[in-house]
Parts: sequence; structure tokens; C-alpha cells
Amino acid sequence: MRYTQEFTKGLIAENPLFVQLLGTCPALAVTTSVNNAIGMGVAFTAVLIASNFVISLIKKVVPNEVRIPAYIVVIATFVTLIEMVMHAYVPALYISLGIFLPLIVVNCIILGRAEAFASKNNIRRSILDALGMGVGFTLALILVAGIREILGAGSIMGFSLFGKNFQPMLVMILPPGAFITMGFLFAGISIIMRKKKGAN
Amino acid sequence: MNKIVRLTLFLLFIAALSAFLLAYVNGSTAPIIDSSEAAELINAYKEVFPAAEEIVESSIKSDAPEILLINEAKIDGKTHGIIYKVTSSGYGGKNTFIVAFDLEKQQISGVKILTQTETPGLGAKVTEKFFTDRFIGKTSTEDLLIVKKDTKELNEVEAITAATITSKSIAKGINIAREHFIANFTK
Repeated sequence: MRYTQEFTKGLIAENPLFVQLLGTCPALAVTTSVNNAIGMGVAFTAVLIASNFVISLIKKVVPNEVRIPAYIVVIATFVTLIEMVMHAYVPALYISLGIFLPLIVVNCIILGRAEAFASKNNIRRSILDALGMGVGFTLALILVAGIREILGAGSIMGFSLFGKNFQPMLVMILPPGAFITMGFLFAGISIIMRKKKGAN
Repeated sequence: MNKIVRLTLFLLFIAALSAFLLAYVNGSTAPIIDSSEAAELINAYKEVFPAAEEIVESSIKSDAPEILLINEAKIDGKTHGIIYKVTSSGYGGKNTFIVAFDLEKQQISGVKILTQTETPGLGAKVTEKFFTDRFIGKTSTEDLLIVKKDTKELNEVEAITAATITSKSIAKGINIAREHFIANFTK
């Protein structure tokens, strides 16, 4: 596979949220506004790149039997490091992203990419893979959050769209709205995928 | 047997390495975090009581678990306002905020939320100015009430849409501070 493909596959063809159906818990929880989605996506991508890099680096040293606990230690360490450094040097960013950081430790995409990709590929490919998956996940979150924010709050990135008289569908920014939005999106994407397969 | 020892040592090694790394970074970032948080708190005090020239911890304490800290806002060495750091249970967990009372006018001069654990998009709006500004100028002589719409009395505050529990929890915290304020700082 070419290097550029390692990056582009995460965007659509192997999109972590819509195609692999990984990371649905954070996608349900943080997609109440586009700002939150971008925050989570950026923090997630940073951790994924760092963890894919280290796991690809140490893949030959890690004994096969204990690889999962070793990966979890690496991921948790990175998340905590990023949290502390951010808190100290960019407190404004920490305040807006702070609540998402601990969530990343248990994000299954990160462990999934470590196990399925970084532990079998070289460093360059692993970083490209992390970048693609990170961007793909971020775009997917923005899509879900955009739909929920427009319908549920009548705004996009905090800017009001329809003026004061608009009555937002409050349910869309409540938990049921997350399930409804993602259900429709998943259904739509599998229809597109199926048609594509049929055409081939 | 040999294998178990080898695996254990490997895990021990990787855990020790990560603990060392974390301890090192924590040691260098903790002082920076502490000093920036202290500076932030002082800024927050200035925000809820803009006229204050000096803020000192009060000699009067409180036993109420909700009241974390009591500060006096001074102008020319005289106390003009009392600032409480309060915690109260909201919808998702504990929320911490500061509220300042003006001694002379007997009203609230400002509220600022420090940390919150409410639902993003709904209760989390408590931190926003549009909501905290609703408390400014409300009386400190009567219990605050949260109403859904159209405030008529001086002690009524409009709730955040779809986040009444959160709004009420802030009002409850303010009322606890208010009772302490009335009992200790007004004659």
C-alpha cells in the first residue's frame, strides 16, 4: 500500500466511527456542539499519533503475551502527560478540552490502531495511519455535532443561525438526539457503501 | 517459569519507566499550574467585585460544608464586600463558584462559576455570562428563587432553559452563603 493511502484510508473507506464503528461512546457524549467535537478530535489525534509512534517503535521488544497491558500503559501515560503539559502551558485550551482528555484513555480506536496497525507496521506508516484515523474521526464528530447543534440549539459553533424566534428541538442535544443522529448517519452510510459494492 | 519472570519484569520495567516520566513531568508542571490557578482566582475575585482594591481572607469562618472560603473585598482598608467560594451539588456533580455580596447595597455584585460538571450544551451553560449576570443586583436579604420565566421580584432569577436543576443548585449555594453573610456581616 502506498504511503498516501495509509493516510487517506482513515478519512472515508475505513473511517473509524462510520465504518469501523469504533469510538461510539465519546461520539455520543461530546457531540453536543461543534466546538466540543473539534476539541475532542484534536486531543484524540494528538494522543493517537504519539501512541502509534511509540508502539511502532517498541513493537519488537514487547512480548506478545503482555502486549495489551503494555499498550494501555503507553496510552495512559501519554494522555496524562498531555493533560499535565496542557494544564501548565495552555490553560485556556486545557479548560475547554480538559473533560475530554481522561475519556481518551478508554477510547477503543487508540487501542484498536495500536493492536491492528502500529504493532505490525513501521513508524512512518503508523504515524500516517494515526493522522488519517484522527482526521477521519474528527470529521465524523463534526458531522454528528453539526447536525445536533443546528437542530438542537439553532446555532453552529456557538453562532445563532435562525434568530431569536427559532424554537430549537431540544431533544437533539440531549442523549436521545445523539442516538437518533448516529442511527440515521450509520444507515445512510451503509446504503452508500452497499451501492458502491454493487456498482463494482 | 522462566517466561513468567521475564514477562513480569517487562511489565515492571514499562510501568516504572512511565511512572518515572510522569513524576518528572508532574514535578516540573505542578508549580506552574498552582501559580496560574492562584492568579486566576484573584482575577475571578476582581470580576465579581470590580471595585475591590485588596482581597484578604476573612477572620470569620463557616462550618457549612458548602462554604469553602470567605474573603473580604476592601477599599481604602475598609470592607465593602464579602466574597464566598461555594460548592453545591448540581445535576451531574459538584459545581464550585464564587459569589460576592455588596455590604452597602445589600445585593449580589457578581457570580462566577469556577468548575462545573453539568451536561454539555445544557447545564454547562451556567458558566456563561448571560446566566451569571442574572444574579447581579439581586437582593441579599431574601432567599433567591429560580423561576422559569419573567422575573417579577428582586429575589427571582430566571433559570437556564432545560437546566432548571442546575440553575436551582447555584441558587441553593448562593442562599447558603447569603444566610452566613446576613448572620455574620450585617448588623
